[in-house]
Amino acid sequence: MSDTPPVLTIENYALSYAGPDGPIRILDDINLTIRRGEILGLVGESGSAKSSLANAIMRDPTGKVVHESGRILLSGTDLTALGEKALQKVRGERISMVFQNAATALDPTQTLGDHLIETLAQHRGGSGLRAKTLELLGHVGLPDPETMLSRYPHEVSGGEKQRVLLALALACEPELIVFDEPTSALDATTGARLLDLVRGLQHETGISGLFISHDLGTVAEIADRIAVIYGGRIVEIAEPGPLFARPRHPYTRALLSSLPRPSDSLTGRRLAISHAAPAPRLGMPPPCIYSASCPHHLPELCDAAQVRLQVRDGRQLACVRADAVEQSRSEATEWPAVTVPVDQPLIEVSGMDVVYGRTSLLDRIARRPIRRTRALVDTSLTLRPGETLAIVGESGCGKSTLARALTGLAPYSGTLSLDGTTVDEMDRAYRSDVQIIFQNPDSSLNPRHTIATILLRPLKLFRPELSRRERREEVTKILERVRLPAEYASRFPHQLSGGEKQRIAIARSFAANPKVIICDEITSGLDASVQAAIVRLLRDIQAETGVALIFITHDLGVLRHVAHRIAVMYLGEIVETRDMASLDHPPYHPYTEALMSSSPSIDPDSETTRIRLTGELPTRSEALPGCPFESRCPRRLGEICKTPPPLHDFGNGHRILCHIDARTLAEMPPVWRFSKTIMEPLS
Amino acid sequence: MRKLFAILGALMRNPQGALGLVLFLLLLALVVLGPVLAPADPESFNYGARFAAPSLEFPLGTDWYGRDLLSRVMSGARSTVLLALLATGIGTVAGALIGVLSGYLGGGADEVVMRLNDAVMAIPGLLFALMIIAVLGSSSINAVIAIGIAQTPGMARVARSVTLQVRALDYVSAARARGEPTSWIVLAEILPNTIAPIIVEATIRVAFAVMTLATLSFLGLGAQPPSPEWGLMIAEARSHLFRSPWPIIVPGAAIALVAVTFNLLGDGLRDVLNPRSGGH
Amino acid sequence: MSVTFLIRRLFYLVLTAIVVSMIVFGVTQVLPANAAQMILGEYATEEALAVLNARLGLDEPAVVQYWHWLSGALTGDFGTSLRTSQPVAPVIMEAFGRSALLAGFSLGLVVLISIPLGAVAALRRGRATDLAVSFVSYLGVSLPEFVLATLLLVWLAGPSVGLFPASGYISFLVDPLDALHHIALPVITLTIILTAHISRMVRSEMVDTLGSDFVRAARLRGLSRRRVIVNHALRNSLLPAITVIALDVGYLIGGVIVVEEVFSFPGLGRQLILAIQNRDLPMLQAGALVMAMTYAVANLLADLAYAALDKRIQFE
Repeated sequence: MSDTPPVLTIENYALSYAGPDGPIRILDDINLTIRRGEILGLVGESGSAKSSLANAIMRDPTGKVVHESGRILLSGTDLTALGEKALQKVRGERISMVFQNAATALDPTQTLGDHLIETLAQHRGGSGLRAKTLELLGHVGLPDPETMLSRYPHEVSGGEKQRVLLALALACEPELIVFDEPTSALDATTGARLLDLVRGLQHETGISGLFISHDLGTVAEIADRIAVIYGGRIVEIAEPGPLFARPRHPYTRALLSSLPRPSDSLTGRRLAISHAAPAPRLGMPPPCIYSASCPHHLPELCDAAQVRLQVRDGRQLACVRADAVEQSRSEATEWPAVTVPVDQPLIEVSGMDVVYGRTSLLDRIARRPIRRTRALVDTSLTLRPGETLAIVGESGCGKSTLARALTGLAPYSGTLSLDGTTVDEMDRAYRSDVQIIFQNPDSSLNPRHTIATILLRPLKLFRPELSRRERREEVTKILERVRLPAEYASRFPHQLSGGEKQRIAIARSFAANPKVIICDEITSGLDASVQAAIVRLLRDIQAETGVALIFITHDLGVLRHVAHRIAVMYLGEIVETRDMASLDHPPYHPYTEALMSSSPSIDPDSETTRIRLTGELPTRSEALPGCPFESRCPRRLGEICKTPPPLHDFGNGHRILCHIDARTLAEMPPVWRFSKTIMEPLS
Repeated sequence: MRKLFAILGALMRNPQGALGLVLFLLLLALVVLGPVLAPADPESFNYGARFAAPSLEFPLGTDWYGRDLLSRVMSGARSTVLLALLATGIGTVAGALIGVLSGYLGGGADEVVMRLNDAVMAIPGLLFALMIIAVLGSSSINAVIAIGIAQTPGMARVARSVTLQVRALDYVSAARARGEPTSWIVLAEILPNTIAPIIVEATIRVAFAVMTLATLSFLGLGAQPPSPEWGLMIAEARSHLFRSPWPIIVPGAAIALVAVTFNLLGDGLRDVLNPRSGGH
Repeated sequence: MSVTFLIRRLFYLVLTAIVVSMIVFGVTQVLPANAAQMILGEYATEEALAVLNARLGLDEPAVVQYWHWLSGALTGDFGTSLRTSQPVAPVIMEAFGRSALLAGFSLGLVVLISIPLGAVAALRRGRATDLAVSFVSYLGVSLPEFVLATLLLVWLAGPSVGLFPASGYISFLVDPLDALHHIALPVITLTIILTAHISRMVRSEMVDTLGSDFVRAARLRGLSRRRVIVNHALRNSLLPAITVIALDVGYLIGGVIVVEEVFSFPGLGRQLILAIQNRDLPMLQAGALVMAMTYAVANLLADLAYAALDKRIQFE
């Protein structure tokens, strides 16, 4: 591929925006090329300026530019030298963009077809636009393009909108497509299908692209080469295989070591907690951008001259100590073991139903049928003391509803018991024993309260025996337990970083010495390194206190590092419950199989089976008699699936709700195939 | 207190807010010291200098009795501004109470309250105030009550929508999951987070109150002669329309300036207090 | 637009009408002086008052009186004026027609002027044009109608300029040109004030839309500036503008009352002020009800227009 001409070449590009305390360095010393037919992945954590690079290429800065230098060449045309008029011709025609949030990137008052027709008319003009539009809609895998043409954005699903954005980007067969986190807002199974589509199109038409994502796994699926960006500088560029097997830059190594892999259960690998601080943005750039956070930093060597990308062993690397770095050992530490005493259940839920939907005054007068959603259907589960039960599923599967029902935030029917006694009303004792942590600490911490107020509330409510002074002391202790200094007590939430805020939310839930904590997606939205630290913290506290956790997540990678058991939910029902230890082996529920295989991974030691779901998630409005997964199941048997499926019990708490007979399920191929190197020591 | 200074500091960095704040402080000084600072007695007649144009002796001219317009406007500031603040205070407190409670309770109660509120809002503000004046009779204080009542439904709507936004946030869910008493949830979790938008709305409504108050007086349904109320001054000047424009321009400009002040202050506060628009 | 949506909106309108009529009636019920006293004067004997009260039906319970009044109002009978002893309905109808003409004229001009003005200000955000428009509209929203009306009157109808007549009304059926001449000053006043309000709203809507993702996406697809502005930015800003304009009809009604008073324009507003000054109950009730219902209907029309244009609304 290296002999094909470059589509995009960026040379010595640097960009600064105006800030309140002087110029903010956004991008610095950027050098890269994308060849014809190549997709370059760009990976970085939040604040790495990866999207700013996309904006710079599109010539659409989001801040006030105070300094810009270097060249951005699109097949020889320097984009930085073009005026508005010339740029308008280039955009859409020679270079196009796929945005992260399809919900807001489409004009709500225009049909999907008009979006395409308008774009084609601008650049191509002439007739036959409608036919070309239909062709494009079919090309991106939208069923029934004819109907799609006249639909409005709000009438189609998120995945379909994202496909329309892709069609818009492809419309004029541009030389380069910039993908800015196109799958981040999508569910795993939907995102996986979109990635497949992009890969398929690339094989067919050989599009060239820059694919930006915070998720290395996603980029690994699609990119020919991957560039890692930190603090506005690219630190390493390599092909996915070599990059994952042998990361060279200290930052890349730290990043990779905090990411979970499917083979972790087999190898016993633990997530490392990287301590990379945000890169400096003000003043003179340091010679090496990572120097402030680098454990291998040697001033006399590293600060001698500007550390730039250089070709080494078939990759580009911005590190002068790479060889020494390679010698060093991985910094992953031992994690505390949590033993689960097999005991009588702590929490027992059976036949739980939650129905959403309210009748309005007018509906009642008009005696209209009530539109209601069955968010949770006949759900039963048990939680043992001290164990972690993970609940996985995509958005709309009812996992958060379950959390709300268990904490008294959603009315339910069915029975719930704690410690063997049935819970009739959520009294103070129950609320004290069962705590919840929400996904977004920005919204779960009251911005008008100090950290002290936030932590004192549960102490006042649930531990009234404490004196005022004891409560104060307890706040300090709790902060210490979540590894935060005592001074934080007088701060307000907005003075803390995202990870610190989530620690406060965790601290609040532990304050009452509960028996159970429900963690509702508490690590999504956090960078991988922060996520690893939060998961580690939970494990530590669990080991100390023996608290049981219900860990709700859509992120399958992290499961292996927290859960003892998992429950998989689809459309309001638990379709499978199993031990974490058996996850690598069949049987699986067909949905579990599809979900697990949709999760992108960076593991050089495993290969994931490719199973994709078609169709869209239905809403569960009226009683659905049969299997909830019937409409999308790749292993659907036939009409029988429209009747209630039986619950197979495979022993050891492994239960699957499916019509397929137990033997066939047990003979399914495993989702992951592991490489010989890690399988051998085991046999 | 530190918070207040932080807000004032941020306000001074915002062009609209800074101008509004400066004008507001000047106005405040005028309200407190107006009658003391006035160069002449607002009620003393100067038949020798009727309809005088601005001069050194009468900086803003005189009216048909030769009364000094500057002194009249300055002594009228107190009643106009204080009454407008009072009217807005009535409307804000009543509206916020209805709105926050309705929004927090939700469900059927909220629906009934808001339907009624919407229906009342179908009566245009000035008309509503006029109807209340018709009941209570014409006087300054009745005009204040009328404006206060007329502002209530609009304020209730604003307060409710803010409450609904706050109520959906996780910290309220967290408090409910903890089993906090309703009083704590409403007073400590919700109310402090609805105050900012309510203050912004109330500030802008002071401008409306000033204008409506003057309008009612102009129509003869508010302040009564010989009060130096600004709207009334213009109404009285109508008998001498084409003799001199100053008796109309001076109180008119005063009303506009006060309204501009509160509009600027409100817009500035919106930018400063709203984290979304304040960010960039 | 779905049928249920239409039915729901009509249901709300009826609900509004009921509440408004109850308020309008209720307010006049608690008036300190009752109608009989009004007619007979301060020194009437008790017997005479009682007789008249009985004849007017004022000795009946409030609910019965309300029912009589409402059923009359529904059939177009608003009773007799206490001031002139003439039936109220024809007077109100005639006044309403004139006021509607005044308001309609102004609203038309406002829409024509304020939307382009607001849009241009948003497009030239931060530049001289924007600052000028923003400054003038700031002044406009801070100036009560009666001040502007009186100033315009002094300036344009005064002896030195004398461009327009200071007061009065001529029917368009009698002399269209002279009618226009007479209606000009009230229309100019209302147009200036409302333009200030609406162009400010249009500007802020447009600024928001110009900063939205889909406008950026359209720009980055290489669409021409004209296409981006007309097809995407303007279209999406005008939808909320419809609602704003409808809400400002309430403001316009207040303005009409004031402006009619300043220019002695014989419309609904002037009748209403006269009725308040004279405690003419039937006239006050009828005037207030007609005004409030006009506003309610304007809002209904705006909602329907919005629903027809915005495809999302039927799924709310």
